[in-house]
Amino acid sequence: MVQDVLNAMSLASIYLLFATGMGLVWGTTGILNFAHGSLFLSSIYITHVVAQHLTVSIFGALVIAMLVGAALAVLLYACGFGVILRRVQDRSSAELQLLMAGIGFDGLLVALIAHNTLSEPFGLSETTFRTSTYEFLGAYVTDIRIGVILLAVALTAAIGIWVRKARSGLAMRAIGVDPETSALMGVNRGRMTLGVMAVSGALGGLAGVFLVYVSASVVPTSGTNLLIKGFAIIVLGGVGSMLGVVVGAVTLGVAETVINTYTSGSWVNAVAFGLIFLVLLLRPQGLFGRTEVRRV
Amino acid sequence: MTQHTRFRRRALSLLAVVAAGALSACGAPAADAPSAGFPPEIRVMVNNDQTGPAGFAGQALNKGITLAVEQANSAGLFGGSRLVMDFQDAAGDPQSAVRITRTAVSDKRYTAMIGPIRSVEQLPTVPLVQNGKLPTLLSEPNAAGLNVGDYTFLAGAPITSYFDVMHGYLTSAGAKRIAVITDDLPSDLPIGDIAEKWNGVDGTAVTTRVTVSRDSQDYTAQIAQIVRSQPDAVVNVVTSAAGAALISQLRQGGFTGRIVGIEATTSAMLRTAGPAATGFTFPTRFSVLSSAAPSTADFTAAFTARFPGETPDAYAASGYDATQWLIKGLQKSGTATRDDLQRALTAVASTGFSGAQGQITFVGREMRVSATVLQWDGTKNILATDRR
Repeated sequence: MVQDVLNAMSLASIYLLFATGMGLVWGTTGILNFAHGSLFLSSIYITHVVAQHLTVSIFGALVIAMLVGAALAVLLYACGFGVILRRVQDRSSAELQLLMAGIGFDGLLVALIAHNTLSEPFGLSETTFRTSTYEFLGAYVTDIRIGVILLAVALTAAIGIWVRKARSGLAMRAIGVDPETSALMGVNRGRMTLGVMAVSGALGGLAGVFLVYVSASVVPTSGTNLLIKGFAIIVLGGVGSMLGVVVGAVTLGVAETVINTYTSGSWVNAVAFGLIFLVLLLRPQGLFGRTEVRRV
Repeated sequence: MTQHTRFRRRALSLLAVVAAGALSACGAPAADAPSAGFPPEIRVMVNNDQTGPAGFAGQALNKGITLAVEQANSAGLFGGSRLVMDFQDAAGDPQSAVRITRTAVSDKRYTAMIGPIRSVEQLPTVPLVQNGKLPTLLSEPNAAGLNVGDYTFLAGAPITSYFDVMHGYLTSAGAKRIAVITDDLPSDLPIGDIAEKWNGVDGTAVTTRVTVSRDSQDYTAQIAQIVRSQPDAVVNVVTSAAGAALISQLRQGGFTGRIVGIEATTSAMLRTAGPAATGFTFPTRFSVLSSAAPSTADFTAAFTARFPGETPDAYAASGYDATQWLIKGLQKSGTATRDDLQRALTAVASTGFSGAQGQITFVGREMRVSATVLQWDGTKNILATDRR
């Protein structure tokens, strides 16, 4: 039982780190970034390449991955999302273009990595960090799993407090509610969005390093698999709600652990996503999402 | 004509016969006279992924194919005709593999097809080649249901035909309690079935069998289930990133016994698993470390001469031997018509031949080889048991 709880918590924490960055951008800027999976993947890949040539510790790996994730996210906004948003007057008509830009950027990065790796697995075994296993109340737990749980809790709480309490966090939320009015109130929309993208990309890189230390390796399609789960977590919790992301990640993590423990693993996606589907039938706005009201 | 000239001509004829004999002994059949039965170009479709999830395997297979074709053409095995391979890349997409197959079936210039590689690509293509009567050689035939008719040739030993060697290995190592991990791929499930059948044989007990999804990143729930069943060894037939994760998480979950797997476990995968993968053992159809067959050494030498700095792997050897079967079939048929080639390939299968993978035998139209067992020492594979 202790083992199962630890397993569910560590899985939920990995999902949380990944989905927080994605949810932050979606909830505040309204951009559903379909390239978030490839930002995560590219961060791991570049760190892997650097570690092949230089001595890299776990902290070095985290710094490299976060910088790469942030830089690529900023690049994506500057060359893709930002250009589309400047050219299109009507925000709703830009949504499809933003979606396609994300998919295009994702496809490009994944293809480059697949070409360089021949689609073989790659990881961070070249770094100096080695996982240690501890026995706790009859269960086995590694230092990296304890780290990922603590970090996910601390980081999500910090981001939640920042978004709710800090002035810049309020400005960021204002962009998500009404970009035009927030600009009139003095919020620098472009700079703020760039900042959110950078934080999101850095979180992708952070999640990537932890995931690789937990699961040993990734392949070029790993980002896409995680993207679908991140998308499901945000929709389940409710777009724009940090608490919703936490609850969504925990729900998916617990559901997958229970299914994996008591049934065949091939049912994981069917049952986990079936559960999400059921919740959305009852609450289309997600568990903690706001009901959208349109005035006519 | 002087006596001296006659002597020189006889000596040259004798030399030519000896040279042809030597070429045959090396595995490449002797050059035939130009045959009226062959078109100027004997075209074969190669439907092996060069990119995508199995891109690494397809590229290695295609190198083996290229080597065999270049040897055959330079030896003039088809007289004035040349064997030409049309390399296409389905990139792991079953629909693209089907599209390439439809092209090969409908375009009568193609005499045969080699590939595709992945079971999800193979299963929808085999009915098409059977209906279109296109001789097709599958060099990685690991899924059940591929032998649908007399135009499909399983030109690689299915892993199910030699995986039992691992039972002997585990038994001799004293591992009696075995847990099995598979995913739900059509190519992997039959291997799990084989391991499960070891239950009750030679004192072996299968403690549990778990199925995992390749899309997951965390397998600790299944690992906990395995560890609780207290096995001496784990048979992990899952490969790629999921395979590395399972090996790594087995060790993190407190499992200290032996972990064995399958040939598709690449060095890149084992390297990413780090120290957890040390001792991982698997059977393979081909290894440069094997000294059991001279034809294996001949192939290795020819491969490294053609691709400097590269070492052939099991996929390259499989591609080479599949193409050798095709070449021998074409020579036997003397024509490039599909029906004649189908009969000739069947005839070649009845005798077998020596190839990169050693002595190759057949059960019907299915290739068989004996396996070598390799073990990962943390940086490279070492020989655990050579083929018999």
